[in-house]
Amino acid sequence: MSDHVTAHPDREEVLAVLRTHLLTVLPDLDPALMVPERSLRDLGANSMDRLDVVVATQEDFGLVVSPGELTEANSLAELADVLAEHRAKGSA
Amino acid sequence: MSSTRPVGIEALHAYCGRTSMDIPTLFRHRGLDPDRMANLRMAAKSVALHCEDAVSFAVNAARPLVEALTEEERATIELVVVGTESGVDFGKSVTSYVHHYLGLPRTCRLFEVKQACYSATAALQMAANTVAASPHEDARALVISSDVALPVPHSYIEPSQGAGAVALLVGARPTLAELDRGANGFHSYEVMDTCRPTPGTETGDTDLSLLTYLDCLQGAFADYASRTRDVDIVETFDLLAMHTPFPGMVRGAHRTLLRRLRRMAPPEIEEDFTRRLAPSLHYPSQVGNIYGGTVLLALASAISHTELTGEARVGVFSYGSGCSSEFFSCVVSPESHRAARESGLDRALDDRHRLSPEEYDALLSAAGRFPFGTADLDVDLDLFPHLTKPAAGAGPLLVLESVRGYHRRYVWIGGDR
Repeated sequence: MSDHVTAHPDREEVLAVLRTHLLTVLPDLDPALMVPERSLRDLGANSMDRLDVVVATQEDFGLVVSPGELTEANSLAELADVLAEHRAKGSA
Repeated sequence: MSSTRPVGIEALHAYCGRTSMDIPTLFRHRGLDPDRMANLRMAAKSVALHCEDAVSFAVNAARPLVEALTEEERATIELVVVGTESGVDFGKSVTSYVHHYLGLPRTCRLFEVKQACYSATAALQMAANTVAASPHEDARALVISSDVALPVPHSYIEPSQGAGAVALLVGARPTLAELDRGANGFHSYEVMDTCRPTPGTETGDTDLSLLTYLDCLQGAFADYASRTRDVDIVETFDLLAMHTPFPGMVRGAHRTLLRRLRRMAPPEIEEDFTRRLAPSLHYPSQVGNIYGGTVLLALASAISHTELTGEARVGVFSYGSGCSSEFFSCVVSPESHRAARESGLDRALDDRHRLSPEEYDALLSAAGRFPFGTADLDVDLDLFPHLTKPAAGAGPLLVLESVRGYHRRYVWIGGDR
């Protein structure tokens, strides 16, 4: 379970990568809408879009995070924190 | 005792219903976002009649295979196993009914297996091992995967929820596909992705299921590679066939796998998809997800929709929520292609009655009137006379006629019965 109250120190860096991949799958999305509190689903990403964003972000950081941990994240911020935590632990 | 004789699929026959629903029509009817249709990559799905269940689907799939056997050959069937997540009784197996209505000899084992959409592969591998271990060289097994959706109307999974059964005759004359013995990789663990937690509920977490499928594809292939020599995801397999919840999912999984294993660029991945994987999606894009049988339908599609000039190796990935997965392989030939074409599935799919939205809703409503556990029932076989009337050229069809004291009774309609 990610800690969505206390942001991970690397949250912003991971969020930037998540946003880049989200814009790749949804090129018409207004970047201003991609605030940390929103989820990929809220922003209009369908199941395959969400899979692409999560997989591509993991690949960029060389991470392998379990499906269960990824799906417990309910917002971009929580997703970024889960990924940032694994990155800090050196998961690969 | 193990043996070196070949083992695999001698013959395959699928029954994917007599009615279908066009996916664009269903999207319009339900008011679903048409932009999301491209994600599915589906044209139509099969829909069960109100008088069809996992038993009747299984029997209708297997009947032509059994009828093609001589009395002596039928006696070589040592095992009948049905893989399903659409059972009709917690104790009594679907197989007991199937064995009866197929008129098979009593000298065989019969039971049912369950592991969501992995059930067909579980049954196939068990059957192959039974045949290989039998002291009788002509031993055979009949494996059937049969499932019917529990519809979730107005959801985005409704368009992919199909119905269908695939029957395989497993033995030592594997005309349709010879299994690579010992070349099996597994990846399984507990996860709550999709499930049928009550007799009438089909539910789950789509994101978790897609991520788990992808995780298992990579894990099962890695295990396969560790048990065999010099395996390469591109060079080793001429064709690929995977469990297909919806064709768009398989396309995404293939893209991720090749990017991770081979660092392939998008145009190369696209070419590889079209050449090695797209043939397996022809039937699933017409039928939808038939759960356990989907991976077999994908395999049949790959064999049937590829012009084979020589032997070809097919890499097969089977995934069942919950979860259990396996990557295995088999060898097919031009003779396999001919046999697959002759099974007549393309024509049967084309001949399905295309339901109007009103007919579709009426069928769902009629099927919902007798849930799992119904003790007594008379099924009105005249409720949709235009749907149950024998199709021109189609053989007899087994349908549910009544239930008495929980005992299901079926009747043949059409054909010469």
